[in-house]
Amino acid sequence: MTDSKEVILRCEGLTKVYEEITALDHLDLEITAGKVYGYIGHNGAGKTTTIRILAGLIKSTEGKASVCGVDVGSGRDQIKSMVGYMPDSFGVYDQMRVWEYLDFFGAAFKLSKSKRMDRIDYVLEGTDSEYMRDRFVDTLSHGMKQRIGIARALIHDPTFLVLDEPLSGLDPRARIQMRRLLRRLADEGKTLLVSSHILAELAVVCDDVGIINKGKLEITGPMQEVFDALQKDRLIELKALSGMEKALAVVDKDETTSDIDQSDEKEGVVRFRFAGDDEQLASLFEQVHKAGTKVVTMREVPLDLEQAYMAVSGLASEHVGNV
Amino acid sequence: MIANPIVHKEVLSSLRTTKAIIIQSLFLLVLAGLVALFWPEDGLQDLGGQQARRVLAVIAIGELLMVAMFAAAFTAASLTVEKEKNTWEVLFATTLKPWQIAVGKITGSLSFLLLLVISGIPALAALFLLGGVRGSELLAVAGVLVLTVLYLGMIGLLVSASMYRSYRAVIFTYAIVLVICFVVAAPAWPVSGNMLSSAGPGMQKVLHVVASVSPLQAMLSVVMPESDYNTVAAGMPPYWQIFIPVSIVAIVVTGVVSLIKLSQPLRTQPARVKGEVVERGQISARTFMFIVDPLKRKKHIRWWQNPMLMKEFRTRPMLQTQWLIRAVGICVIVSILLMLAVAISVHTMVAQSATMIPMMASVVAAMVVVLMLLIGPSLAGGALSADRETGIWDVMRTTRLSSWQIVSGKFLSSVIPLLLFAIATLPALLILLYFNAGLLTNVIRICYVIGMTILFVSTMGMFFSSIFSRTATATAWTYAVVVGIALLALLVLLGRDLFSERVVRTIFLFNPIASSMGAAGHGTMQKYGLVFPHLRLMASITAGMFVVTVARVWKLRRPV
Repeated sequence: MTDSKEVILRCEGLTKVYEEITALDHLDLEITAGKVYGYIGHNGAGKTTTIRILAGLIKSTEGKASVCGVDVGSGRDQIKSMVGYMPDSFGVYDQMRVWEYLDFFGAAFKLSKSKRMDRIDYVLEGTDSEYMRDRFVDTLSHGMKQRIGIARALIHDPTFLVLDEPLSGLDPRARIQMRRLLRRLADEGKTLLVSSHILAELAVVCDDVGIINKGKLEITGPMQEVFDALQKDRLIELKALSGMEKALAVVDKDETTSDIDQSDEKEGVVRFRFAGDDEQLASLFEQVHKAGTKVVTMREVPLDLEQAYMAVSGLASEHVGNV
Repeated sequence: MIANPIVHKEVLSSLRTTKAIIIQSLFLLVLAGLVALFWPEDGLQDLGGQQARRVLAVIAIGELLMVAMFAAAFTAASLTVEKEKNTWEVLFATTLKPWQIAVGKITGSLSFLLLLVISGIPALAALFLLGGVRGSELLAVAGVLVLTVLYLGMIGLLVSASMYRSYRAVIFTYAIVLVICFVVAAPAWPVSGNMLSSAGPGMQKVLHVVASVSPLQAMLSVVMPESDYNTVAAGMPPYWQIFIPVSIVAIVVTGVVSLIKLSQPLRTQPARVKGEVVERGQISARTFMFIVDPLKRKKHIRWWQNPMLMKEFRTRPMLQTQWLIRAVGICVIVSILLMLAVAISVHTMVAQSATMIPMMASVVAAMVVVLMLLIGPSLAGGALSADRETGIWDVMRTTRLSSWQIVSGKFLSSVIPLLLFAIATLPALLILLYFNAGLLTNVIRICYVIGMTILFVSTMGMFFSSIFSRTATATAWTYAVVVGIALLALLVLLGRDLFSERVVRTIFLFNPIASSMGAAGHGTMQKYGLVFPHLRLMASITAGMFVVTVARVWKLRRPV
């Protein structure tokens, strides 16, 4: 078991340029042992480029990355033993059973026969795939293949797993099972970097998260901190039966409010941004009430993860709060 | 038909591809090369028009062989690619009728091939400058070419409509094309000891009709009616006269079957969902039905085994034990039949046996070499590209397999089955030794040539597979080069008196069929002294290609 404070992955100024396109722009990232790191970004943001650099498939143009202190560029042979890679597509071999598929990759990692037999049992059990052992890989469903893909990435007992979109294309049930599996792997001491273009998919399973956009890591940190940071400008909705003009006067006067949206005023609803803390918010509620407004509800509109992601990636900032 | 959007899309997209440009350029280049090579130096012709007729024969046969080669390459993968990319079902979701989709695909694929034939007409028309060739003859040549395109193209499309994987469709189509063009026509050629003329009257007629299925034989009967390659059965019409109705019927039948197949929505590929397994030592009814039960649990890969080689033998259908045993069994049976034929012939024709035995040895040697040339590209052509196509290559790169393990595993996976096939055909050579022990040296030399051919064809398949990322392209290129070296080069035989001995010998040096016949003691080929220079030349080329392949694999494994 690795020390939970130990840094497993360290990227410093990692950059990849394809001719005129900067796919990855000075990425600085650290992942500590036993953590699940959610790597979020829309299609083409630079997730797969990062993963392929970490798996030793492509070279970085600048900067460096190390796994357990071993440089990804110069220590390729060591890296192969330490990193388990699962690409976003599952390469199929015709006529090969699941255990034979795992046996081949075990042998390709130079595991002895007895070790391979143990590992095949272990990874099939660990991924709840024991029942697929004798099935042919080309006949498996997408969800099954994703599991076998993870089993294959685990066959040589790597410390660090890089999984490219393991949840994509899965039905809700398979997605829940996959999230449980990822969590279990982290609990068993593995460190995982899991990419997705859907933040909500990873929210329940990740310890840390990073959002990448146009090759730049826009925000990174523990899940809750990132979430809090994303919604520091809280959206408040006020619904009143009468005296809305008095409430608006109070809100407008308050220095912590901004962006007052009166488009639904006829229905007795206004929304505004609020940048203060909970104490200040309670005080504002009190002032509105004292001003003589007949308040039905005054509540904070929860910012969902999709909006947060859209906000940070700058894709639809103009829509935040109006969704 | 013009209003059919599939026709528009197919014709345009087929003409836009790099493959179309390469094929078109290659076709015209070779054709121009043949005209230049065989054109009389003084530009004049003899009164009988013999030279012009010879040039016509070379160009017509060369064009036919190229058309046959490209027809397979162009049509075999045309529908399987759509199935692989899941675009076939999308077409069925449109308001187009199934038959419109089918007609569109067929028209699109064949139009390029017809364009190819049309672009070759100027080369044929140039022969008028020499005189001695009638317009009706040129018309007949063009007619046979057009029918060949439609005939072989439709076969390729039918295969493509019936299969799911491009590389399998390409292999299967090439196998059919080679059988149709060469194997069925062989009884009418000297290479078979003119089997047709020595058969009984009834058998002669059967062999004549069977040979008429071959477009090559039809073309030979048009351009070389008097040659040894046009042995006919008594009272039978020329081959081309039978070929015309036969090919038209074949075009119509394959067209209708293709239309029916294509008009049906795509059925899902049969799957072995349950994953049944027969445990080792378990005895059931299956035990007595199989020499090697395909469902029997396999052993784990051992420490001394190359994982890549084991993987290849387990995943590629043609390399699985049960299929290998069947294929080797067929080779043994054919070989034993040949052995019997030799024994009977020697006993019944004692007087001629002295000259006949070397002739038979050369037939057997050529057959084994042709077998290796036919099977080799299909085994080696997809060796590396198949893994790159499925995306598993990237996963392989993250393992600790070395470039050498990958290349040697892939290489052996095509060499081993070819060696097994070659060994299975040995009884036919051994019986010749029984009748004439003096042939031992020849048999050993034949084995050298066969061995070299196996190494050459396997390495070439690997070489193209490391260059191209698509298996269908790599396999098609391997077949194209093999057919070019082994069969197009034999065209020199038709006009060998136009060239110096040196030129003919240089061309034959590359040719494994000519060298194997030379090794067997075939009169014409033996005089060129081909065997050891051929072995040295092919060994150098093979070594060069092997080194390039290892370097390519090393590069493909490196981070980019």
